[in-house]
Amino acid sequence: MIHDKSLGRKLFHTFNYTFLLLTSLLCVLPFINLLAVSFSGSAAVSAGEVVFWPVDFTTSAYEFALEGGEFIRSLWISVQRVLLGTIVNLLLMVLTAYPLSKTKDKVAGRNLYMTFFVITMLFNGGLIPSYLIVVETGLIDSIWSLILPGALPVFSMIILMNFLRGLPEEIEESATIDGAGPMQILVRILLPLLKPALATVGLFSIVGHWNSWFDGIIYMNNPSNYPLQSYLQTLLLSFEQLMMRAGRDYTQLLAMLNVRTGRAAQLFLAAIPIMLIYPFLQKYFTSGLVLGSVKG
Amino acid sequence: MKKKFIAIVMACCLIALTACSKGGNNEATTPSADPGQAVNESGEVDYAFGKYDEPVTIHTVRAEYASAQFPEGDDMTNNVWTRAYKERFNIEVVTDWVTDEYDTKLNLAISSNELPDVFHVNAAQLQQLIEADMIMDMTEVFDKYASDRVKGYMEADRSSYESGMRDGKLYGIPQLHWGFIDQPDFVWIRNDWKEALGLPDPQSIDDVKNIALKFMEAYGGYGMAVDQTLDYLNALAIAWDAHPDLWIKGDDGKIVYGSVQPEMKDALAAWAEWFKLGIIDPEFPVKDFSAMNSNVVAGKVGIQPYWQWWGYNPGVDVVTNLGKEAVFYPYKIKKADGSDATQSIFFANGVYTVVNKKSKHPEAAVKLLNFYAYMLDEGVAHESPETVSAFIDKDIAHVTGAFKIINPNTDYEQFSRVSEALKSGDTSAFTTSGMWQKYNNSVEFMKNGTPAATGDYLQQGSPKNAYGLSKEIIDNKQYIETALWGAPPEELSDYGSTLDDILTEGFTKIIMGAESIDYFDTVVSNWRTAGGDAATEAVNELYGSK
Repeated sequence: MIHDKSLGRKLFHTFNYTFLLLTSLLCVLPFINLLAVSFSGSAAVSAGEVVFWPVDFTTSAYEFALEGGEFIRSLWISVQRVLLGTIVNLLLMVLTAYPLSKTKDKVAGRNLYMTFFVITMLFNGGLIPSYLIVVETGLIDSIWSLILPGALPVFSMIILMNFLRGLPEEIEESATIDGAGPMQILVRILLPLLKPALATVGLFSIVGHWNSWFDGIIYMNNPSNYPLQSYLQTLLLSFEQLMMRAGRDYTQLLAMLNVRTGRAAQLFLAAIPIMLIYPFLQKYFTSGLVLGSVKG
Repeated sequence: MKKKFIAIVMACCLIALTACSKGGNNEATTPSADPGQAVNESGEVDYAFGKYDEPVTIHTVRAEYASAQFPEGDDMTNNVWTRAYKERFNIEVVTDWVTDEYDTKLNLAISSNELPDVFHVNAAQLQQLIEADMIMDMTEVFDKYASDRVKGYMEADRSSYESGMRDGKLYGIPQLHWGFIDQPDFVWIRNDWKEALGLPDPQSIDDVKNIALKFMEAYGGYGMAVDQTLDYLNALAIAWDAHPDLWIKGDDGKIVYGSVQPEMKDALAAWAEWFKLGIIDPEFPVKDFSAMNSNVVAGKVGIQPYWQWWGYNPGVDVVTNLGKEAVFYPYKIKKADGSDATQSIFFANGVYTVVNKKSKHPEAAVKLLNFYAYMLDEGVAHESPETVSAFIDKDIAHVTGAFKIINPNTDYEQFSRVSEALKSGDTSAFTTSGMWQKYNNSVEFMKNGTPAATGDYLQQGSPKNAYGLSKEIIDNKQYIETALWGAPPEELSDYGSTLDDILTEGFTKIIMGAESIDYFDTVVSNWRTAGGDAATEAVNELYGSK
């Protein structure tokens, strides 16, 4: 390429790469710090000596994090939640996005349904009414209380709908001529075409389910049923909050000191699964998002 | 047609899912009017400790207590306490839920009207529940069933007892606290530095300043570790007769807020001068609690205004990092003229035990409170050491949730006996496992310098210990109590942290020299117009007559 050699281009590249490098460092360095803390001795951490390399190297934090089985147990609950939740989300999204992608001539009441869904996107009932519904429907203290209240992510559904609208109508018409009904068209023709969009919204669902913690704390009646992020949140109380809760109970403060590095270890462990999934779904990510919105 | 079919399938799924999950857990308690109870030696009904003839079931809810180390198979809902309730009282305690976000979850339970029989609340929730007429008037039940010991606790801290009342009726039984002895604050000074420089103990607030300057000369850095909330620096304000964050009753009987009184201006003026001299950490406005402590642990600073529990945190880390000799010792905060400063005592009772108005057995809760007090205070005298240890040690004493009540003289008695025993070597007067723990750890630290024992040692066992100074302060009544003994009025909570933020921000500017000391008057008038006046009025209305 010709313009590669011009001075301006070189300057631009240098500047560009430096900028991007710095930005990515900003994202990576906290993780490296966390990793260093998790492998360091507790006293060195509170003296602020640990930056990017462990001081007084020890793996005791990881032993602490994994002992007692609470971490593993809540990890397993989180995995169940992500699997179940994502499947339910994808199923409902496809089933709603398809009819809604049609015009109102073809699907009676289409605009009414659409308004109905969009309203839930803009407003929500608030904490107490949501809680009451979960209690009244008997979902409380079961894993379904984490999945059903958000069973249809409307935003993702709209992305899917726009993606569907972007597909040439002729594809469906030809299938109809061959005698396929709406269900067959959806399963055999549209689903395979939807893959990049499904990967995108699927990733939204996975990350959403993996990261949410508040519903776990509210709807579960026993900490042994907490998903991973709810469990981690309980470990992350600040020292002052802990003081208030303990009512100046000093033995608990002592226990705190030993968990500080343990928390870093648990945070790091908890971030691993998402870090592993992301690169593999990322390639669909941008294409799916852009295709959905621009061609709509 | 097909669409309809899908809709029906979906609906069925939903119903099936709903049916799978557990149903509500709010079944009514076993009704039985005036149940029979065991009698004592003299043949009278033993109201305080008598066992029920028929099993009684009560529901409760609990906050998770993560540091409790249960034996294999036990947990928050099933442990040595709940089994004892069944064995000794024939009371079956059923736990509806356990949570880490107790206040949120309880507020939800209150709004959905799913309250258990017995539960614990904070002062604000207590007022709401009284207002909503959801909890029981316990006056008579408490009178009849509470043991003499528990009633003695209430006498020992009458103002907390009264904070659980409204119109003379007892609604919330205060769970009380370890005692005022844990409230006085001190200035902590690193001992090996002080001795190396041959400095005497500080006799006035100006001595503290001079020690800081000497430390800076010899060891560099800044002189005093404080944080962005100003809580730690504020602990020193009493040296200028200022009582920040405390609601004080003035001479005219009106309650005023300590942070906005003219005395505070003197304190700020002095701190601004300290800041100029480099005594106060130049980066304090961006330092939170752990950032403040990190330089203490790293051995870069030798003075810290702090609560009595310095030895637990950062003390343990200081000893781990810098060795036994680097401990800080507490000194009383003194005024410029050398007299002792008047300490601030804040409202100490955070938690109340309350009983649902619909509960059939309100007395069961009182019996279990009696049992808690008995086990903690008298257990050593009446039970085997193994039994007491199973009930108390490894933080098991803190898992009882609503069924908890603390002797407000615990720490005072404990310290008196531990310090006696450390002098004489005679441990025969020990009545609680806490005394043994403090004693053993103090001995351990003196012998081996074990870091984990630092907290107990500096609190009670060292030659200069925090509780020794606190005890003098309490014995000589060198303190004033807050006038706001109970829940803050709604107006005050409505403003949230806005009012405090105005003060913290303004004071920080003055200390850093960004504004002159006269800016104090501007800050105060900002505070007053932003709601400070309204809050003061509300506090006076609620507590002014008491």
